[in-house]
Amino acid sequence: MFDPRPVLFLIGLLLCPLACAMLPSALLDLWVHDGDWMVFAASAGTTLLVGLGLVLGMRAPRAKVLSVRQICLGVVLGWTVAVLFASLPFALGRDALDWTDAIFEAAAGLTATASTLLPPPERLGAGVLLWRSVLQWMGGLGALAMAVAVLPVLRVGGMEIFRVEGGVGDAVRFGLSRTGVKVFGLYTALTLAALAALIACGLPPFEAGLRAMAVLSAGGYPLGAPMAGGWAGLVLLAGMIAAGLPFPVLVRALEGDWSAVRNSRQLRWYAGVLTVASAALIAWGMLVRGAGWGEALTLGPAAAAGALTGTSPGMVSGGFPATLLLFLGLLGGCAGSVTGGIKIFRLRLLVAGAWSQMRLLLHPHAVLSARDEAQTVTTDIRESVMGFLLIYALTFAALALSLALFGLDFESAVVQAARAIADFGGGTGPGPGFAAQPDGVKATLTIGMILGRVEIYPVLVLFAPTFWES
Amino acid sequence: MGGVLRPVFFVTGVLLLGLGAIMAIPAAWEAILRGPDVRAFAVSAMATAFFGGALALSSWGGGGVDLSGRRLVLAMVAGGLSACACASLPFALSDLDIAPIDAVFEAVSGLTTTGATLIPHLDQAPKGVLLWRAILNGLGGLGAVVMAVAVLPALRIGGMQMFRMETSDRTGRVKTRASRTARTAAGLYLLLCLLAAAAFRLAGMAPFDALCHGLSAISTGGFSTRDGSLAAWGAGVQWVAVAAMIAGASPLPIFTASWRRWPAVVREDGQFRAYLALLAGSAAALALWRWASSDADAVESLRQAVFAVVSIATTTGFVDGDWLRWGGFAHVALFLLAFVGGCAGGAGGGVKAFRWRVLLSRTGAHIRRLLHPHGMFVIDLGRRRVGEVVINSVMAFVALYMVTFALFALGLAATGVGLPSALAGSAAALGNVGRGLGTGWLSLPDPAKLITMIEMLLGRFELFTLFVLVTPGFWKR
Repeated sequence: MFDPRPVLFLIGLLLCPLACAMLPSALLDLWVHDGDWMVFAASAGTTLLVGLGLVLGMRAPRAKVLSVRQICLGVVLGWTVAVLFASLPFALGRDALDWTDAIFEAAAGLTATASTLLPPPERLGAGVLLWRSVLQWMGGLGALAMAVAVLPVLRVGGMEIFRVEGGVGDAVRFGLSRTGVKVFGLYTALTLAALAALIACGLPPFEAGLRAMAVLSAGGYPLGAPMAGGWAGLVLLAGMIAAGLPFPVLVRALEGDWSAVRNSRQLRWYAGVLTVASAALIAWGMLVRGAGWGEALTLGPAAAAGALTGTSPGMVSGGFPATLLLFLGLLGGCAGSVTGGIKIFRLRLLVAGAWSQMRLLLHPHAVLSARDEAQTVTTDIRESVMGFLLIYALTFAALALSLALFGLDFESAVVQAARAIADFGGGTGPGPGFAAQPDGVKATLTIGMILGRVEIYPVLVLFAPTFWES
Repeated sequence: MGGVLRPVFFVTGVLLLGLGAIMAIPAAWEAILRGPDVRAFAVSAMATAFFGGALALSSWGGGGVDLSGRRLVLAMVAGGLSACACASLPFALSDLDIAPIDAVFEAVSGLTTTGATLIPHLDQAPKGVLLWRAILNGLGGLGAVVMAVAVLPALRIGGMQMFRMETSDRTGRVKTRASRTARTAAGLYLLLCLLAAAAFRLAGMAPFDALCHGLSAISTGGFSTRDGSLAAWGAGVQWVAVAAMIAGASPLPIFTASWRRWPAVVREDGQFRAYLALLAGSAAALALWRWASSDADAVESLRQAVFAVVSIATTTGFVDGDWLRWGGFAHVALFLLAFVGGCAGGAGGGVKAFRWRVLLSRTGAHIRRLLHPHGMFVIDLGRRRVGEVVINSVMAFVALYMVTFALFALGLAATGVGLPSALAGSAAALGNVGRGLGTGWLSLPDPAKLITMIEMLLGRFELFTLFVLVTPGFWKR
């Protein structure tokens, strides 16, 4: 058995900022004379107490390098425990969700899925509104930390190609301290920029703040209410697109290394998918739905970007958009972004693999030239990607089966399973009357959202028979 | 170019000549029964035979036919497509009064052993047409078996090189040993069709229905002679169908061993064993669900569940009722099973069991390697070691399968089909399943029929064979 103390220490480190993040909601409620401020204060106190206790009590004698097992356990426990504490305000607050619902709500927030079981925004207190948005924004931070420091080290589904040099445990610390700080800074700066732009467009500051956090974290909480049109709509669209970009690449570009952007193939694919999907939705809107230029041009790209980044499904309806948005949501944005889903680079690697197989069919003895992209990607990495896709598909299948077992019909089961695992909610809630669904459905979706956010592997490793052996 | 393609034309011509000859069977049947469609079949048979004969004669160059590499791919595709076109003639000319695109759809669906039908009233359809549909299923299954045993391993498509005969060299030429195995497998296949027909007869079907269902069950096609498919017969017939469908989807080459060794052969064949286990597990789960969620008793639930699971997973598509009424769980489970497909070496479609198994064990090894970076993990399938080349090939196939499924589902949705039907229709067409997943084939708009037809062909030709035709490199010298 390995030493669990560094893991618990890490969890304590996570809980302290979570507690601090509850304070703005408490202050806001206190300011608008909402009784919920006590709930937030009490939740923050509890969380901080536990967090500090873990930090102080579990401090390892020497700063040791984390092993793969410790990282996996830390990731899984970290997200789960954070979700549990984040659910406190929902369970104890005025809307008093029961525990299943509160945990669902917290998981939806922290994984930046942004499905909701709460009443519509206009009936919610200011503190709860702020708390949901802050949760998804912190979820975005967590997603970035995973993408920059944890997943490449664990070599989850080909993420090792984004790996920073160094040993396993070193790389986590190194990734977090060097790239991580800059990436977090960029994320914050982009959010502030969106906030400023939205205020400049005439949105009230509070709403502007909520929406800025929603788009940059690819969460989408208050977007359930009709999305702002006009200039504000453009800002939101830009924010969503930015959320799907690879942040480490952006950081390198800002440091003057533009070749990082030029050489990033996933960036090109991201732009391509976004363009094609937007064009398809615009064409569908105009040709089939009979929408005008203005409407189609506004709704189409917003829906495409919203689905690809897992932010908001937008305001389009119909069989074709539903199918397209389902697949876009499953696809997700770039690796190193805040989005969920399979990630575009994996699709690219697989297509490249299929392409080289086709060439082998034509020229059985061909040695693929060095220019051939598939050649530089080793079998090991492609296998890693394919393994990920397989695990992803199996998890999706298990979630859909489980949802159907608890009584959902085919369409809802498939769509909800996909949305949960791709962390694609969009503030609208999983559907009308969803709060009345059995607890099993909500629990399944909660598990699905967390699995999607940690990219499944860390959880799976915990179940490997050799994990708990010494 | 003409000289290079001569063998391709020749093979296609011979194939059509054979098809024309076989078309004479339903023509004779109609003539004996004084059915309405004698002329339709006679004209189609003559036209097909004439066209095929002309093609074969004009391209007959004497000596052997050298089919290797690209020409083999081209011959397969050209033969398949022209067979589909000619096979649709009787439907178009018959009394059925269906649109040309529906006739082509019916032929494609038959020859790819999909089994989705656009004929609205099978119960009143002429016997000759019903027989022709069953024959198309049978021929399609035969083609699939021969392709799986002799052609795909030589072309090394989607990891099928695993099943290559040891003696065949690397030029992609179909060698004698392979063709002998193919002949044995084909013989076994035809024998199974006859056995299944006899069993259906014993279980209480009329001789004509027994013959038709024998062909469509072993081929995992799924064309029936009734609108309600197998709902028209009792439990006995359905158990026979279950056995026949499994036989059709099983890897036939392993049964070319002496029958005394069959138990040992099944035990050693990793693919078939895993496949049977999957069928049993899924059927058990579905039976439990059916038993718990309806008023059917235990035996009835078990029969219904086994039938449904086997029908979808073997990509046959016989139905005995409306499975979608069983609720969401059954619907989702059957949808997922449509991706499994049969075993490599059989008539079933879909991804094929061995590919899933290779991927699964490879992924398991990958996870273990996360924990033990320096461990060595070996993958095998039964007694065969799975090498890196095969794994690459399998991964490419499965990835392409998923992407194709998604793109065609999008295409279907763009023609105005709803989300559930688009997903189910794409899976059912690509996997050559056909009926049973809730796609209202009869109500599909024309563009959707075209899309699903292409998908059926893609599925049957194992994707790469067709996709490679549209790469620019294929047509270069």
